[in-house]
Order: sequence, then C-alpha cells, then structure tokens
Amino acid sequence: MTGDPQNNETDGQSTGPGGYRTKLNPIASALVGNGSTRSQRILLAVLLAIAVILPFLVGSNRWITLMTVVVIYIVLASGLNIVVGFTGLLDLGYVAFYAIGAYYTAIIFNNVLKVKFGVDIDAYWWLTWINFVVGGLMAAIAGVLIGYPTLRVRGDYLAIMTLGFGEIIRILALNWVGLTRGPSGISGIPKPAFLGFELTTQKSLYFLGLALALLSLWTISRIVRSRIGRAWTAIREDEVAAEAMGIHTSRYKLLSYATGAFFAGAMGVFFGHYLNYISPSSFMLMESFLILSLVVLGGMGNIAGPVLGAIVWMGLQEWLRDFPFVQAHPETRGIALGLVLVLLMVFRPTGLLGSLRVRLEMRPGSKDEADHERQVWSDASR
Amino acid sequence: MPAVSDSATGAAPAATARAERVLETTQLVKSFGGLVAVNKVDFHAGENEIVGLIGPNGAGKTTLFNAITGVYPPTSGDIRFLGHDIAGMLPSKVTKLGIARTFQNIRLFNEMTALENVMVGQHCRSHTSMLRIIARTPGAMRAERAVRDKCMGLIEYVGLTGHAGELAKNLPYGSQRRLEIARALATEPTVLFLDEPAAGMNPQETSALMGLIRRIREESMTIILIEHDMRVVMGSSDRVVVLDHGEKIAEGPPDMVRSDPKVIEAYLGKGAG
Amino acid sequence: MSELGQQLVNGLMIGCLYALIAVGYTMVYGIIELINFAFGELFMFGAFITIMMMVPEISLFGAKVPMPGLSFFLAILIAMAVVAVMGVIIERLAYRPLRNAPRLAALISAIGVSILLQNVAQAIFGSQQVPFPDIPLFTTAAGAPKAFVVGDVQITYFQVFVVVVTVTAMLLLNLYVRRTRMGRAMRASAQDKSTAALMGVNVNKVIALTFLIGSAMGALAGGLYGGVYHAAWPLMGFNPGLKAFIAAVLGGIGNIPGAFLGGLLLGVVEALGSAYLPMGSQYRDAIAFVILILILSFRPSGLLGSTVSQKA
Repeated sequence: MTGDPQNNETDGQSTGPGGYRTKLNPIASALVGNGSTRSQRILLAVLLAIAVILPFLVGSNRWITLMTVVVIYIVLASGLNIVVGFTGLLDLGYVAFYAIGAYYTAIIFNNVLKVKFGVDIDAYWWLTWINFVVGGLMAAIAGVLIGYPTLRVRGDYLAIMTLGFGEIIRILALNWVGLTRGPSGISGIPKPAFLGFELTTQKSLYFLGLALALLSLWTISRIVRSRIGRAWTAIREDEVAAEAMGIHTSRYKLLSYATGAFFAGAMGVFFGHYLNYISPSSFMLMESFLILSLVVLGGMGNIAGPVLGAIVWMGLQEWLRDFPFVQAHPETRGIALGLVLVLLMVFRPTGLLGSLRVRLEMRPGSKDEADHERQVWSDASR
Repeated sequence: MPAVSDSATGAAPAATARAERVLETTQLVKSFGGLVAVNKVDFHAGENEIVGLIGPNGAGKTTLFNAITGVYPPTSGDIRFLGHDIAGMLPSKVTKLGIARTFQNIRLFNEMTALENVMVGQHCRSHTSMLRIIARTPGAMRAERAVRDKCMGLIEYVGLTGHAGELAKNLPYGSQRRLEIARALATEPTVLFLDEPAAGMNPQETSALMGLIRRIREESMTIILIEHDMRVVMGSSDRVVVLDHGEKIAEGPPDMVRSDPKVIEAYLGKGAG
Repeated sequence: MSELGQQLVNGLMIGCLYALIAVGYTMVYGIIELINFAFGELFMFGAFITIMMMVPEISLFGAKVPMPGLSFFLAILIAMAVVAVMGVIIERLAYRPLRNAPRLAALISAIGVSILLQNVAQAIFGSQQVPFPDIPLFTTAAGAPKAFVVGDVQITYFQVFVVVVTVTAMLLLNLYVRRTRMGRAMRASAQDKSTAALMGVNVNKVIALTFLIGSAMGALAGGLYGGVYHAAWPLMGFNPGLKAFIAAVLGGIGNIPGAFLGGLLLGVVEALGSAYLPMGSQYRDAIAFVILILILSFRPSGLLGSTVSQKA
C-alpha cells in the first residue's frame, strides 16, 4: 500500500503484532451490528434508557454515586478526545481545566459572595447555572493561554509542556492560599437549586449530571461533524498539508484546546456543586493520565469511544473494588491501568471501538444516509 | 507528441509580458544554514499559462514551491501574487489568496474519506461560525450542502466517481494523486502548483493526467508544474523554466529549452574530455 | 552570602543527579524520539535495590526477607546492573513493537510503563518511605554526615562523592560515545536510523544498549539520591524524572554534554529560586516547568543543541 505508518507496515513488512488495519472488530460489531445508522440509533436509545431507568432500580446510593462519577468522566474523556483524538494534540495536563471550572465556582460563591460581600449565597441559586457556562469559558480561555506556547512545538514536547501547565495550575491551587485556601480546599459550595427547590438527593444530582453529559455529547457531536471537525482531523492527519489547504492551523489548534477545556471547566463547576467541597487533591496529574486512558481505551477520534472507555473502566474499577485483595492493595488498580495502557498500545491502539469513525459532515437525517453509512463503515473496516 | 501547446496564441512566448504576470518572484533566495537552495531566482507565471519547472534532483524546484507557498519564508527577495506581497506569509493565507498545491510525496488525510479530503479544500471558502454550526441553522446547512456538492463535482472531475466514501489511505496510488489535485482545486485557486503529479504513474495514467491538466487550464487557471517526466512537461507546458543548483539556467518554449546545451549539460553532466 | 554558597552547593549536587537521569533521556530521545517516562521509575528502583542490597533484611510484599547486607558501593553497582536489564526488557516489550507506530502510541505506552512500575514498587515495598541505611564511609559514629566547612558553607563528603561520580560517569560516557565503535554506531543511529542500518549497524542492538546505559545511569542517580535524602519511596521518581527530561531539553535534546549542563543548570536555578524567590520553596517544582516553557518558546533546540529540523 502506501507505506502508511499508521498501518504498522512499511514496504509490506509487518513490524508489529496486531496491527491497525483490523477487520470489523467483534466488540464494535456486537455493539452496532452492521454499522448502519439505524442500529447505532437503537444502541443509543438502549443506553439512554438504561441510564435513565437504572437509578430507580438499584437500591443503594453507592451505584448512583458511581453512575454520577461515570457521567462526569464521560464528559471529561469526550472533551479530551477533541484535543487528543480529533486534533492529535497530546494534552497531558487536561485536569487543569477541570480544576479551573471547579475553583472558579467555589471562589465565586465562597470567597466573593460569602466572605467579601457577606451575602446569603442561597439567594444566588441562579448563579450556579450561569457558572456552568462561565466556568467553561474560564477554562476555555486558559486553554487558549496554555495552548499558545505549544503551537510551534512538536508532539512530545507539546505533551510535556501541557503536563507542566497542568502541574503549575495544581501547584498554584496548593500554594495560593489566599485564593484557594491551599490544601484545605474550599467547602460550602451550595448544592444546585432552582427557585427554592434544592437538588440534594443523589438521584437528582445524578440526573443533572446526566443531562449535562447528554448536552455535552450532543454539542460535541455537532461541532465535530462539520468543517470544524474536518479542520481538526486534517491537522491531526497532516498539519503541513492542512495549513497548505487553507486551514489556519494555529487558530484551529487553539480552538481545539478551548473547546476541550470548556467541557472540562463546565464539569468542574458541576463537580464543585456536587461534592460541595474541592481541594487540590482531586486534580492530581494521575487524573490527567486517567482521563487520557479512558479516551485511549474506548477509541480516539470518534464520539462513542470515550463514552465506552469511561463506562468500561469505571465499571471495572468498581467491580475490582469489591475484592478484599484489591481493597488491601490499592496499587493493583494502578498496575491494571498501566498494563492496560501498554497492552492496548501494543496490540490494539485504536481502542475498543477500533475503526469506528465519525462522518465529518453536517447532514440532515435521511433515508439515503443509511446507505452511505454502510459504505463508509465497510470501507473503514477494510 | 506535438511540442507546440494547444493554446490559442500559437507559438509560446519566452516570457510573459509584465502586466499579465499573475505570480512573480524577484531575486528570490532561500538558504538553509550554509546551503543555498534557491539562488536569486526570477520566476514568473502569467494568466492561464502552464509553466513547467524542471531541473536535475536537488535543483531547488520544490524549495522554490515551498518558499512561494509559505512553507518557509524566503531568505531574501520578493514574491508578488496578484498585487500582494506574499513573501513570508502563512501558507493558509497564501492559499486563501489563491495559490494551491499538491505535494511531491502525496500528503493526503489518510483517515478521512476522499470526499472529506476534498471538502477540506473548501474550508477557507466558507466561514460558518461555531454557534451556527451547533445550531445547524438553515444557512449553515445550505453552505455545507453547497460545499459537498461542489466537492462531489470535483471528485467526478478528476475521475474518482464512486470512490467518494473510501478512506484516502485505501485508494490506489494513481487515484491518490488525482485526489490530491481535486483537493487543491477545491480551494478555488488562481494558481495551481503541481509537484511531480505523474511520479509513479504508468503511461495510461500519465496520459489521463495530461488530459486533466489541459482541462484544468481551460478553467482559466495558471498551472506550475514540476515534473521529471519530460513527455508531460514538454507536452503540457507553454513555457519551461530550468533550475540547476538553485539557479535559473534556461527559460523558454519547450523546444528551445530541450535543445539548450546548458540544460543538457545540467542533466547529463559535462561531456567527456 | 554564605546562604548563596550553600544553595549553590546543594543545587550543584541535585543538578548532578538530574544530569545522570537526563543523560538517559537524551540518549534515548536522540535515537528513537521517545520520551521514556519510565526513567523516573527506573531511578526509583535504583534507589530501592541499593537499599535492598545494603540492609540485613527488608519487607517485600509484606513479608520479611533476609538480605545480603553488602557495602554501599557494591549495592549500587548491583542496582545499576539489575535496573539496566529492566530497562532493556521494557524497551523490548513496550517500545520496540511501537517503533513505527504514531508518536502518540509510544508516548502512551511509556506513560503506562511508568504507572505500572510505580504501582509494582508499591506492591513490593509498600507505599511508605523505606529508610536508606547510613554509609559508614560518609557518616560519623554519631550518625551525622561527615562534612567539611568552607567559610559558612557546609559540604558533606557524600555531596563531593556525588559530584565526583557524576563527572566521572559523564566523562566515561562521552569517551565511549566518541571513541568506540559502538559509540559511533549510536551516534550514527541518532542521526539517521535507516541509513545506519544500511551501513551495517544493528540498530536494535544499539537501541537496547542505549536503554542499558541510560537505565544504569538512572539507577546510579537513584542510589545516590537515596543516600542524600536517606530514604526511598515508590513515587519518588516521578518529579526527578520529569525535571531530568526538562534538563535534557534545556541542554539540547540528543546532546550528552548538554544533558550534563542542563542538569546542573536546572539544579542550581531550582535551589537559588526556591531560596530567593518570594514563596520560592513552595513553588520550587514549578520552576522547572517555567524553564521548560521558556526554553521551548525561545530556543527549542536547547543551549547546546543544533537547530531543530523543520516540520516540513
């Protein structure tokens, strides 16, 4: 073929096990049948039904808490997927954006309103909802600032630079005690409320999280299936060619950082109001690695991958947690994570969903879409 | 193969009149550290001209392309395109102004379909904002549909009908070359740079390519063509420019250049004795 | 001014440790363009194995196991050997299959190895600090480090030892790379792998050797570090590892003297910064990252490096 390095073959000589050019992999085909739009839609409907009904079926709060955590990670992984999966920028400091959103809302409510102005923060319930967007925007701005120095730097250095920024944000949060209360963190963040009705139960908070996740996924899907998604993917595939074809790569890379950061920031706001307390220990470097692992596990460069990655990994973690051996030896989860990453990369770098790809066009739903989907699917899996 | 181009003016001029020059470099120099790859080259192309750029390997042809298209800024010298000074401009800006290119070593977006590849070319010609994209406004949808239709048209134009949905990496070599041309055409260029479009093609494909180049010229485009396949260059060009060791050593109609002793010497080396 | 002197001494010493690890990073990156995140963890294992060989018994996987109780010098050499082999095995299993894969895959694999090693160490040695035994040669009978005093500056014998060992190792390595056949092969592979292969260089062997040497150096740094700070713990490698990579970039990636210079410079700047900048000691770790951002923004090829190749 063309000696495409991504195919792990040069001059016809296969140099590694597995290979990128897998046939329609069993997991994806099990999930989406023959790949037609209709079966993907059915799968989505089923997942949604499970997501909505399950909280009412399980008894304990433990599961609902788990599902809330999964939902948060779904959005975080999807946001990072924009940067890493679609645009090809290895961001190792993503958790910083999450932190910025969380601290933003915490500081506004605690430091500003309560301490500085001494107002009753419960009267400001509406600010929570605004903060979702503003917190996201704050993170987006940080994304642009952090992204700017990385523009002319090659992939590995970019990774370390973003890692550095992530660490700088964490160190700031830890040491700028005047602003962030340092290691003790900020407590007293109010629960989300609406016109007097407070969301206090686990279930209600879960559904809020679920709603945010669905909104985020819908938005991301729409953004990616457009000229913007094409521009990002082009940058990932061949930056020089993308620039030559009229894409201002610097601007689109910054847009990618900003967009990915936005969703992390928004979820950070949710996190703050969900736990009512945040501290630097929630935003360690390992979190960035974990989110990256979710993206890689599920499959980069498509919408469903990060979702699947989050569900599978968190589910696995929870299942492992039930074993007393694992409880006694928490490092086994770390070992599992490390092993999964290495084995994935060596044997199945495209993740669980493998060759599933998003069609990068804005299309209205239509019958003839199904035929086109089938062709693209089968070609992609060749 | 007739040596005379089939332009309406008959015998091709040795140089284009100044006023008609669409693209012009003046004393262009590009050096990398100590190596001077392009040495004081005066190059120009006129409206609707096909200019062949030839020379032995390492003569600086692709470097000249790269300097003009903004891949790297020239060390010194001017580049003027349609009245703009484009030296040192970002490649994306140069493309927006109307220069498009293909690459010597095919640089397609491998994990995107053929259609998506071509649609990327149209990126700089539509400007829908992110908000409108999220909202899927009727205007946005219309713009996208227009882009899609145009790009499908280009895919047919280059002869890739039926392959729109295939991933670029899965296309056969000759199709990939044609896809690259379609993608470049999607940027709606005034000037099209083709860097060895016939490389690796068999005689059939090469003839088809020459036909394609002719058809493109009929769309009133200016084409600048780097090629080693002399049949293609001599058969398609109105005027040929020859580089050797970074300098322009000859320029003129294909026949004249072909028999120029300096050109022969550059390719074959100094004669024995 | 004595404060300055003391900081310089401390900074120089930690700089030497950074330099030793940085050399591994720079050599590996020079040939296969991979940031071997795992060097930090190899450094950590160096420290642990040195301890293991020195103590009469140690707790492994929760069970007490008797140990040879060797001298420091022997222990550290054994640690270097063991970790060197570890490095080669890691390369073979986690990086070689990905040599032609996109950069992202190798980097993620490296991160996976790093996470794996951290947690394996935790499983073996527990998550708490393991004390590093005193080295009789460098410790007084009372248990304090032997030192001499110049003006107001205290310099321990061990610190001198660290600097001497580092400089020696650097000189030896430089000699090796410049004068021997294998060294030439390494330099050739760093320039152009495929051409080197065509010239008869066994590139796989060269890469394995690079990992061998880099890991050994990292282990050496680990053993020394443990001696300086009198402890080892599973997560100790992450920060020094990262900073060592930054030092390698600072000096010019792929450049061995550059790694040495970068390490020293970083160590000194860090020490001075934490002493003299406001809130410097708390933001100590951030200093390295700021340096990285500055260097990559203004001189990406590093202090001693040649111009980075164009992206096109």
